[in-house]
Amino acid sequence: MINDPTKDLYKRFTLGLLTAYVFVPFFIENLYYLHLFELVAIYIIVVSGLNIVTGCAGQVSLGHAGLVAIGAYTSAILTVNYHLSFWVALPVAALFTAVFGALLGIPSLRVGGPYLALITIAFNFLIDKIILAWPGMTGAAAGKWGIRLPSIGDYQFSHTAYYGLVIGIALLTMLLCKNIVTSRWGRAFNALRNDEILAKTSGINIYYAKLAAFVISAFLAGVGGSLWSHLHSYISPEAFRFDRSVLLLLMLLVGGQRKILGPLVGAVILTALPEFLHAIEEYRLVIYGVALVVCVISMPEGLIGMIRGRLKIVPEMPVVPKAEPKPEVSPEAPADDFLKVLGVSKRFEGVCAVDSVDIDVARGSIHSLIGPNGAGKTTMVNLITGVERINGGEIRFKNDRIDRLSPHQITGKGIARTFQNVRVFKDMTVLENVLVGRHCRIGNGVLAVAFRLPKARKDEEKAIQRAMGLLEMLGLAEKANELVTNLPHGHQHSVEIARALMSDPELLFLDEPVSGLNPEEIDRMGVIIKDIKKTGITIFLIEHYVDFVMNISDIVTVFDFGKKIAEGAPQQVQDDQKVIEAYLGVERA
Amino acid sequence: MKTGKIFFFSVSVLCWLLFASGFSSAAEPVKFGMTGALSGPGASLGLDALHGMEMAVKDINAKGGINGSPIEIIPRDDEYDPSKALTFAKELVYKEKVVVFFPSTATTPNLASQQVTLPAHVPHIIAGTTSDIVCPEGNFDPYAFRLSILNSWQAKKLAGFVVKQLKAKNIAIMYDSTEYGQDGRMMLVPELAKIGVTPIYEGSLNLGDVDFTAHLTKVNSLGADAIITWTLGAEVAHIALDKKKLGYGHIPLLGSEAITMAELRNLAKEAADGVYIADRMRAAYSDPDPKVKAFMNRYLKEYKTDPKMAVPSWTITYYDAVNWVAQAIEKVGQDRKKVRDALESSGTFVGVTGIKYTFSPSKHNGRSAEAVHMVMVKDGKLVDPAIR
Amino acid sequence: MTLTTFFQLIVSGLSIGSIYGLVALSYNVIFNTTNVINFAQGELVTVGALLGFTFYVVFKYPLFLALVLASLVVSFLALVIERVSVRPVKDISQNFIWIMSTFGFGVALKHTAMLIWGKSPLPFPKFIGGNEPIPFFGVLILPQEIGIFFIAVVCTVGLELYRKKTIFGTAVRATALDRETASIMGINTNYVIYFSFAISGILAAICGILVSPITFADPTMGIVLGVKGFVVMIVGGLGSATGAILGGLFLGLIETFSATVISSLWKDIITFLILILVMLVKPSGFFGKRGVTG
Repeated sequence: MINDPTKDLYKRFTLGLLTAYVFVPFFIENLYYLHLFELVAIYIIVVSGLNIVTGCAGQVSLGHAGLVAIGAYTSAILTVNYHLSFWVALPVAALFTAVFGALLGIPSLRVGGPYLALITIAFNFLIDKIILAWPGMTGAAAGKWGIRLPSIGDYQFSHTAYYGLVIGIALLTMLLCKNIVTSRWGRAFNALRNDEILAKTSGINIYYAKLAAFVISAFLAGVGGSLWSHLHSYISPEAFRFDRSVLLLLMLLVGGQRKILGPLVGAVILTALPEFLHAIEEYRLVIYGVALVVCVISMPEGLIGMIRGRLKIVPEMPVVPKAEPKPEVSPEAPADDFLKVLGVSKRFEGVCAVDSVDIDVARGSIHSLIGPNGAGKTTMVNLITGVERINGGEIRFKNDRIDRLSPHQITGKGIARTFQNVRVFKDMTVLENVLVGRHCRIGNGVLAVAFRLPKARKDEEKAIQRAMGLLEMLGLAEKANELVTNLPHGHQHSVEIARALMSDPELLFLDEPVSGLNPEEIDRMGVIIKDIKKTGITIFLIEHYVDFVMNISDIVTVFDFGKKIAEGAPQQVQDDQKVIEAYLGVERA
Repeated sequence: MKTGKIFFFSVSVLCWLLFASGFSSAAEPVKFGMTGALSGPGASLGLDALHGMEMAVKDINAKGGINGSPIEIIPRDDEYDPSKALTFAKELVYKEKVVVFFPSTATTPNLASQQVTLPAHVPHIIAGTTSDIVCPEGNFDPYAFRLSILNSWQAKKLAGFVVKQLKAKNIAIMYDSTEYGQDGRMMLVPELAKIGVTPIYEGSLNLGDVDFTAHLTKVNSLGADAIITWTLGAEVAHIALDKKKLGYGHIPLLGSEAITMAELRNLAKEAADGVYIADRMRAAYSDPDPKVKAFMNRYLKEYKTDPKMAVPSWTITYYDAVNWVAQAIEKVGQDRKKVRDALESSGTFVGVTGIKYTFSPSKHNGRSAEAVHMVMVKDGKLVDPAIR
Repeated sequence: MTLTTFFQLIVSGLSIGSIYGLVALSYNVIFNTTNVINFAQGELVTVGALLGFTFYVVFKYPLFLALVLASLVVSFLALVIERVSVRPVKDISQNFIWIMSTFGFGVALKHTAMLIWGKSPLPFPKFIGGNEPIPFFGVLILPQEIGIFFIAVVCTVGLELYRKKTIFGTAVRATALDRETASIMGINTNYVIYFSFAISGILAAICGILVSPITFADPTMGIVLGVKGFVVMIVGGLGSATGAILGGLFLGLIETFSATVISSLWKDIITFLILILVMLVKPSGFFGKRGVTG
């Protein structure tokens, strides 16, 4: 491949630089420079956490310094007030901060964007005030001193030894974060940042994912905070205010979001830079503000992103063994009750989009829904898949009521869908998009993926194999590592189908799957749909291309103005007078 | 391509800056390290301190420096942030290898920098901070020395003055939420208790508060006949203005040393008249002593400030501090331990305006409780009050 | 608490609340057309106040001229913010980039202001009435405080009328709801946006000059006012002028009373707790439009 030698060079260069960076400080005796390296290592830990919650999951945390404060003060209080050992205080502080992370994550379940930003700012502020109001514990405004470096038995750590500890934790953090980001959790975070509704219907419980992101980042902030206390031996509230939160975010931006080395680059630049600006001390903060603007505007991908972009480095293609054949789902004994829509209605502020509709979908069939634009077809699908709430009636799937479940739960039950105006995760590659669909069928928790436990690795491998198999079936295997938005519209829809199939659905909703395809491709899609049917999956189709629908369907339902006006075998429906008037058109004599 | 050019340009600028900042002067200077708030709010304190040092260094260097070597002040702007103060302390101690260190005027940055200087055995010369904790009487670190006054002394003076001279019985306290304010309150309450008085009101405020109607109406309704503040100039200015607006002229207003800074008088103007302040010296403006007048005039000429403001008292202290340290270094050289020993055994040192500082192995706070004088605001100036 | 004290506190609360309301109004004006919250708004207020000081106190221009000049400069700065911090990032999918870019601009602006005007607060004479308060049934009210309240209400009413009753106001609302469609309909959406930023700048300048006699012109006043104005905007409802003024008054009263009844430390805690509560229970605020979250 063209980028192989450049990529090799890049890898070796970064590795070399990283090694030098890690090991040189062991030989520095000057306590001041050593202090700077220790500081940077702590920032790496905290900003890596920020990378996950803000960079990947898109949840703005403008109050992260508040979490660091909790870690710092907890560790300080435990060691100074209660004389516990550093080795106990650190994990306790991290866990305690993680709890606060969960608390901070709760508002994110209801609001986003600037609202969430404001809540995180308020959080930062509140923590500051709480620290000030509790002199007995925290020393309030005077601060807390006497926080000592850790010791093992009689040996108390020197700053060099402490640097070793801190950089070790930083490297471990980067590694674990890398594992998380490249796992199903990382994909889930990126998915929910890209498109929450799509993430939900792909089977991701976004509430849980958001909380997970906050908890992970809070844990890391707690670790960083604790290390900060012991490094400085004195902490006071000023260190953990809003301007620190902004600095953390700036480090993330400068280095590059969603890049593993981003936090390191950002931390180094923003810690080292002030060193060289002593000559223009007065203007330092003005430059800081300007740098913030410039960086954010002209370098949204950060330094690492820019470098990788220049060198045209793309994510690695996974090792793909021969794709497994698609699993054959043997249709169970035909049951009467598969999908039953009973008297369902939906109103939008006075407009009745769906009006007391009954639909009965038989297992193993291809059931189509046609009708003029605005008839309520997509709304119907939204109602069944949980994206919208019904106003009346019931929806049952295999005898269970599903109309009150959330989308990811419905996906878990075996219903998957694609979208009318193709929805894909814009920031992700084709393969990653497809893999998201598997999220609800793999059960590995965050810790399992962080430490790459054997089961997690195996599940990931199997998922990739499966995904590649599906992509091959759809003729998209060579495009696996391309950004999905580089593909033409029609192919993106195929990617959606692959994603939907990954969740092992029993019922698959396809919303206008052939729009944007040429005749050859339409035929191919017809074959694919029939192949899917052969594996036992029931298909529910919305389409405007009438010939296609009539050829492929077992049953056709027709909607007009939110009501069902006809239903039956294709020929029957085609000849129905009402359908002809409403939709198919009368031939002019 | 454009990004490439920008990148190249910035790297070149960076290299130049790096090069420029590494430039050192010919003769090996004697380095004095200093941190303070040189920007942001409260920067006037940091700058006043730096000015005092600069004036002293100018004088000494004009006479050939210390044993032929000029003094170089290396200032760092800690923006009142203790972690920055700590980082700078490390830089000044380990990278610049300063002989002595002058910490920030504010308490928490001072405390933070102590974590570095004291274990590293660098003389820690406190000329601004007044909180007891940075150099407590009787329980001080051998390397910490203080030339400024203590909060406890101010509290004692204020308590005595308000009860005995102003004959007040119902005393209200208003203090801010920073370490300075909280420390002040902690000192005032016991001092008042010693003379049998319990405050009728203890109100906490935040720096940046502008409306004190709430506090003042409450204080008045409790029948207060004096208000002692322990916060900064702008806040007391607002208190004075609100007090005037509400017509509470009958309640005298007092405050700690910090409000001798210009903000109170600049902002409150006439409303500040009659405010009593505990200062570390007699009012410079009205002091007949020629030494004081000489220094004040020189300061006004060099820094072109408003004559009504006279000269800030801590500028004088920092000036004295530099001279005191320079004297010691002249005797024993630049070895930090030797300097410390010399400072400790320096006995009585007389400052430029006649203030006496006395040090000994058992006394690292150069002044005493008697050093606190009450001054009063009148017509934009600080003068000796009629009542002492 | 006596009745007089109670009413005295109400006056204080309404007065400071009017300021918060004005700041929130200026946020709203921008938000209404661009869905962006300008994190440098507080600094615009500061610069307005400082410019007012220079023109009115130092150069001794008549008040109205000082106000106009200050408004011109601040409007210009607001337009610069639009060009530099808002327009380039509107299309990037990240929803917090503009928070950083506007905030960064604010930091640079604040410290430049400090380099020019120094770091200490600057005294500002009361230009509505003098220092003598007006006694009203035992309650003392400064004419300046009445002026602030009055002008805040006038601005609110003016803005609401302009939005709802004028053609231009309709254009503004259209741009806010759907920029593309508005553009296709013949509305020059760019001009609408420039105009909004300019108005926001004027409001900020008025706010700064209006409040300086009470708070002094201080380079650090921006942060506090900015954050409080932001809180008011959320509580009162994003995009609603009535919500801004009512929310502001509400916050001003809450602050004043909790500072008295509890303590200054708690007044801020309570403010933020209310904010969080509102965000969780009714994120669109009291008067805001539903479904504006996230």
